[in-house]
Amino acid sequence: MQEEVINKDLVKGFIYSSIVWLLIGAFVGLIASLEFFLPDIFKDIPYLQFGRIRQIHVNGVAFAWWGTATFGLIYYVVPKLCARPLINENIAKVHLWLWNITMLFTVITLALGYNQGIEVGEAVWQIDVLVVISFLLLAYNVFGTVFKRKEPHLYVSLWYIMGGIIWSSLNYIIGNFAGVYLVSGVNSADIHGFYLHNTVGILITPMGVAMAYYFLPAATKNPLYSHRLSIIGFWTIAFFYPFTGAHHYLFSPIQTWVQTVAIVTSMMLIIPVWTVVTNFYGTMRGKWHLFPQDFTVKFLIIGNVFYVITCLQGPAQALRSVQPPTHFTDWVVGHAHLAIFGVFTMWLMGIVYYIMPKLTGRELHSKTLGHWHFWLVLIGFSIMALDLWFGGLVEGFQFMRPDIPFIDIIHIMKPFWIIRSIAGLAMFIGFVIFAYNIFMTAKAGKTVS
Amino acid sequence: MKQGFFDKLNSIILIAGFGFFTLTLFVVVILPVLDPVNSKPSENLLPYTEEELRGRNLYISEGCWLCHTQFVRPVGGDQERYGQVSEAGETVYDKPHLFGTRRIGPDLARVGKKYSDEWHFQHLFNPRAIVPGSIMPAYTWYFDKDPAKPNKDAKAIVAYLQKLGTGIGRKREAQPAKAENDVKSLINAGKTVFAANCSPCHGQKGVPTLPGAANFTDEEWVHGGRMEDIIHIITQGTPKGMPQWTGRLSDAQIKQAAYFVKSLSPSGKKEMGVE
Repeated sequence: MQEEVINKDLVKGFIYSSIVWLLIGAFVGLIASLEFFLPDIFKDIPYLQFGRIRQIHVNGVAFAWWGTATFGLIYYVVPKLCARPLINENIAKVHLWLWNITMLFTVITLALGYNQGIEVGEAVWQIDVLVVISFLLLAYNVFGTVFKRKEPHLYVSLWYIMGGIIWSSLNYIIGNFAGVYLVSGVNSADIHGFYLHNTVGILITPMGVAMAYYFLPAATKNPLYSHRLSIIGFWTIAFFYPFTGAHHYLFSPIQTWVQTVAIVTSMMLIIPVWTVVTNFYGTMRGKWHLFPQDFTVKFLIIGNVFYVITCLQGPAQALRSVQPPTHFTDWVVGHAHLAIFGVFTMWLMGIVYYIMPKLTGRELHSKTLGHWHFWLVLIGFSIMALDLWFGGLVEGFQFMRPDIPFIDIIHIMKPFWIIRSIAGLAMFIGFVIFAYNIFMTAKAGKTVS
Repeated sequence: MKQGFFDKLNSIILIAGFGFFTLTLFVVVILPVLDPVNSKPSENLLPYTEEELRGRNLYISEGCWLCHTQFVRPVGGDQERYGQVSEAGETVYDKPHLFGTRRIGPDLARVGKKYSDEWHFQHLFNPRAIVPGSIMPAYTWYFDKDPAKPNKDAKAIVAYLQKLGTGIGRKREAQPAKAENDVKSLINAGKTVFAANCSPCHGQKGVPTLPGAANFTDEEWVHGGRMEDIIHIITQGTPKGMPQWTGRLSDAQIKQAAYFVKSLSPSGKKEMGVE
């Protein structure tokens, strides 16, 4: 029998706290969405205005939910792939506490109005220092364990995890320090675009893809379809992604050649997405019957469908001709939700279904609740995304008509915002059901035979 | 499975990890930053005063930049709506930039000097009183229960807003924003709305033809003479016979008519800065 290399309590600590953050982040998003058509709902309460809570939602779902869960999974996948325990589990425990405390500080300080003014980097520099320390603690364990691994072959997930740690640590420092304190104006915007898209492209994407590359073969008990495709995917993501940042600020005063580089490399990202998608569908060969039966497979494959759409929509949005009706509108908000929720959150939730029996020795508490969770979030999200894209186009085309007063556009958007909140409520209920199901699994699930 | 060059540990860490990132950093960050065009201030741009800077920091801490962008593009109808296209030199003192990525509210790159300080205080205190249907939060904590009583922070925020877009000097007059929020444009548009809807009772120039209808050329404002009062009356009507216009005129038209009405009295002209 294989020696146990995982510290289960450590991984559970990250997974359980991440689910709490999922509920908080999603709830804040829900109440923020109400302010679009009930602007006086929290009148006279500064801490609950949209300008304060919007970033609590974004940081809550991107760093506090996605980040915490991903760190936990890294501490699962790395020992497994290196065939040895982490070189220092105590440091990983420090990471668990430090990270959760950092997230708590982030929420509190943002509500109080402490803000750097950088989207996805709003937390003040003192918190940024704590985040960098967290990355260093993670790097120490990951690289240390890889250097001392017992399994000589490096599986693709490890490339992405290692690359992701190097890129994210450098990127976080550049975005939160250089972009805020060292340069100003157009230069600051250039660095911000670089930082913003790198957070999605070389932090969230590599880690998310790393996990999908591990857990889909694990759930299907099939080998990965193609090693060569995974090499092409990794190296094209590594090369092209960091050039794309200026696509967040097209038609701004940033130099035109920088913007063109961003557009072209955004188009080139179509290459890695095909390698990932082909690899995942290929890995399903002969196991498609698992799709209706197995929650992990369900969430991973649906997330994969959203991944294709995201990585075709994104490049299209970067084209200059597509910018006028889409930029600055809800269309882009829809795209952001497609990536962070449709791909990376769906993947994570599926992986949690896989990993709970492994960590607790117990079966999932309720398959029925699992189905409710799946359908509520899938239908809720699909409605939200379509609503944001349709609404966004309506908004964008009206922006292009300067004879239409801005306030009239707000009126036209209100029904779209109401629908968005209803869809978000469905998703939130789905998350609550998920959290309850996982909690009950840990407490009272049937032991695995 | 043979381990080739591309999945060796050193290739991954050194080339894909550090190498590519450093290359990109050099090409799309360091090279553009070294370009002097981004560090030369625009013709009329002065550094922020202490008050303006404090206002800017409050703008950042309240997250205003999440709804309001600050750059005018050469596409998408931006120029007609907001004015001159933004230049690189205009934001040289902006640390960090506030370009923004979402327009839930209008772009503010050229909002400076478009509205009076009083307009801004009324709007900040209760946006819906000035722009019916607005979804902007009411920043009541910057006031002593009254838009006419802004605290130091409110004044700082408005001082900051009044600077935006003024850095290009005379070039700004060469291309004024047409559209909806320029005071003069509102009055002009309001004249048309007034003529079509209000003049049967209130006369073409605010001297009423119908007995009992209000005279707008005098200083008597029975129901209140602030902009929000006038908008309110047009919207809701009065028990004495002024009809309700909500539903018959759009919110934008009501606002335009209100601006025209206010501009008919001497004090109104003075407050709005028109003849």
